[in-house]
Amino acid sequence: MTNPLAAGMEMSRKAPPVALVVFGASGDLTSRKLLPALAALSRRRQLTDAFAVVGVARSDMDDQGFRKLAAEAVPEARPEWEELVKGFRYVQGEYGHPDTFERLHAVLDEVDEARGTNGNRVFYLATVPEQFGVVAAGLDEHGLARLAPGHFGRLVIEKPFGRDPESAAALDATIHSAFDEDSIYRIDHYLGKETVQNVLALRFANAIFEPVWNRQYVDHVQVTVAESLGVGHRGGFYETAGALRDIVQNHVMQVLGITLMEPPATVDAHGIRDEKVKLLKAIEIMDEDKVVTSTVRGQYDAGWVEGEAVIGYRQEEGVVPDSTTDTYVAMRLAVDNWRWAGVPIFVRTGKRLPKRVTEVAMSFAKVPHLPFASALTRDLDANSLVVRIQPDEGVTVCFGAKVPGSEFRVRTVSMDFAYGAAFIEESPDAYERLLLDAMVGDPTLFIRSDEVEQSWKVVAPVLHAWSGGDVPISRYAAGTWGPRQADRLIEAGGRRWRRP
Amino acid sequence: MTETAPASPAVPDAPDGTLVDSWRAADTRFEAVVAELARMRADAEIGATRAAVVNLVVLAAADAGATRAIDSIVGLGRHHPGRIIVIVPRGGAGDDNRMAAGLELYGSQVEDRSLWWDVVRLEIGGPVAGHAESLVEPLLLHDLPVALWLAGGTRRVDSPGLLDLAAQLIVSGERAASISAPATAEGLAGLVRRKPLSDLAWVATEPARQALARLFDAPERAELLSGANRLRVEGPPWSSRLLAGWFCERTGLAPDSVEIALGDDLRAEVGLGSLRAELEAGPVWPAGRVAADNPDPAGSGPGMAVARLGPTRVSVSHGGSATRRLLTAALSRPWRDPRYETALELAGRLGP
Repeated sequence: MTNPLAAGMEMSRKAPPVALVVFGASGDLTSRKLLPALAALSRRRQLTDAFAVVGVARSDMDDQGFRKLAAEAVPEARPEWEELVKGFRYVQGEYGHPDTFERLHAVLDEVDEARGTNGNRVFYLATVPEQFGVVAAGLDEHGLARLAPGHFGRLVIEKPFGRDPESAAALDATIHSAFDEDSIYRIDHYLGKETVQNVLALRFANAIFEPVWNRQYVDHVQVTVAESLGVGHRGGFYETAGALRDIVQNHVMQVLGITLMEPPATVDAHGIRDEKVKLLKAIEIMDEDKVVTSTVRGQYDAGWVEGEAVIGYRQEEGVVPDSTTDTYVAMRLAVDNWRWAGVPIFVRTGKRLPKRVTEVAMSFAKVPHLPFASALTRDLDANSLVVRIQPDEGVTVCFGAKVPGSEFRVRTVSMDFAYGAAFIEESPDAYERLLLDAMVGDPTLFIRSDEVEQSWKVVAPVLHAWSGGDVPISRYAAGTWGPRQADRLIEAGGRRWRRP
Repeated sequence: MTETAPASPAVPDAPDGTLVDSWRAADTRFEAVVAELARMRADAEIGATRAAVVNLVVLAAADAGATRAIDSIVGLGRHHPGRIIVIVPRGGAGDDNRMAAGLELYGSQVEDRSLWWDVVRLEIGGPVAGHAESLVEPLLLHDLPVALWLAGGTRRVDSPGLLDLAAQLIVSGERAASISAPATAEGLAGLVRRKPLSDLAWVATEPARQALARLFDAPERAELLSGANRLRVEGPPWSSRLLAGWFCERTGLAPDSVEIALGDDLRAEVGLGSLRAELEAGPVWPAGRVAADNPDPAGSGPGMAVARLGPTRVSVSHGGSATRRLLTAALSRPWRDPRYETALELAGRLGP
């Protein structure tokens, strides 16, 4: 029965009764992201009393140990978090061992009884990707995946979704054998960021932007995903991934999808994801010649970043001395559809760049004729609209304005809107938003199977050509914006990279 | 680490801007500076939108002259809102990087508009002092031009990477002119070849150049310039040379007809046969006049002929206090100035 007292009240979204099962509960992602996100949801009163976390991992720990870990992950927690943590449970075991799932089943039954979680489960796989299929199969074999009507069982997984189209398809097949597509929530935490969602508001809630969001007015688009950090202790993993797989195949494709898609009929899971897939399908699939002329792969050498001397990639822990793994990618993409035909999309991402920043910039075409003396407009750039995704989320518009005085001199002014300063409400962290969505059952901000498949279709030919040595790896000093070849890539069309 | 609590927000109406928020740390890390900048932006009651036009990076020296110059820039944001980043390399031995930081957020009310700018001061020591660009780049306001003021001098830039960041270089030729004139000219010409250069000593000559030029606006009076046979310029050493170099280039006067003398303010005297043009310094106005060497008491001599061709006295305002005025003017014209470049070349060839 619904609460009659709540009728007509404006209430924040709340998770339904549910047990959140975290595989990889003793890992870094759980402590750094998931537990703080849950504490924030609890503080916002978006978790009910009928909620519990069950941790599963190989680490030798009991319920008390897991509760201690949860408390320590949120050192400034409020009493409600401490109260919630008291109900957390832990199952120690190997993911490939049936006994682990039998004990998990029993614990979940106890949690249902004790906390009223009603047989609903969200399984969060904070494990290495190699375990995704193993865990999904274990859940299925022990009756935890497909639940009786009136109960839900959802699976949440994080990228990477395979390392090529074949392995991605194999992973999908394994998971689909246990869970229906509607119950699979593929996380790209970029989609949980307020500013990515704000792109939808910017485009579709304002009459001034959408009319110019097309090939008639936009000269080119630049997407920058820059990290100042190196690979740190993840060198071993990074050697098997590289920037193209780690960033372009997922984050960049998702950001492009949201930014360039057609207006959806409805802002819901089907409306948005259908349009994203259509956009991804319109991205030109490069042949080998195109890969050579339209992509640059780089790797950082030693340099200086944010005031610190840093080592080169090949000196990082877990990296082979003659590694050719890409830590930097620049690409010129084409979107072959009515809206974007002929508008180059420049993408660059890399590690050890001068600063951490993720931005999408629409660079507009210059006016057909400047009616001012050239000397008076010589420092005038084309208009641009920059959406900053992280950090300092916000939107900047750059336009020309007359300089006060008797001369008619025009110079570029940036008008910067800081998202965090505009609203008193604190923005939820991406994981906070996405965890709640998974529990509520709203997959709008999660990636659908066909999006993964299409993203791989764009990236795979590049990987293939690179593996054949068609595009040599270019060097760049840490703390610079990438190799010189990337400058030449964009300068060939008379354009230049922005300074983010 | 020592840190002060942020100052309370205040009503921004002072002429040089009002300090709205500040933060200092004697020993800090770059992440703390970035975090405090973000906090200041979020906390200050400046609204969500902020307009900016420029990044000004000041590479200073730890001497009193540079410190005075830097102190003068605080109100600059009223004219060029944006971010001012001051880098002060500190000497001292050791392999460890050291950084002291200060942040200041200013606001100002100009007519009905609110302007905001911030000043980031980083005093750095150790090896990082040779790589200041790695600290500056992440702090720049995106997409806006970078002007680099080499306030500490031009002879040695500790962080050459900063030059690559800049769209415009600003120097004080007077500070550079402590070495020989040819060497100064050569050094500045080297910078000109890399980036558009604004020499504050050249900017300082603008009112004088305007006043001199206006004396010869009338076509008949302009013809007198072809008879210019001597020039005496008195003033700060490098401004005097630039003014003389400009005059020689414009009129064809031979450099060996120029006399340079040291003084506090720019003065000039141009010999035009029996006439002379004089430029006098004033506290606010440089004034120019044309006069005859031997005025004809009967009123029919060359003095009266000159008077009939236009005003014999002109003056041109040069605005407010020195360094800030010059920087404001330099930032307003961030492009190559061919007049300067030819004046520079001649300034190095003028005699002592």
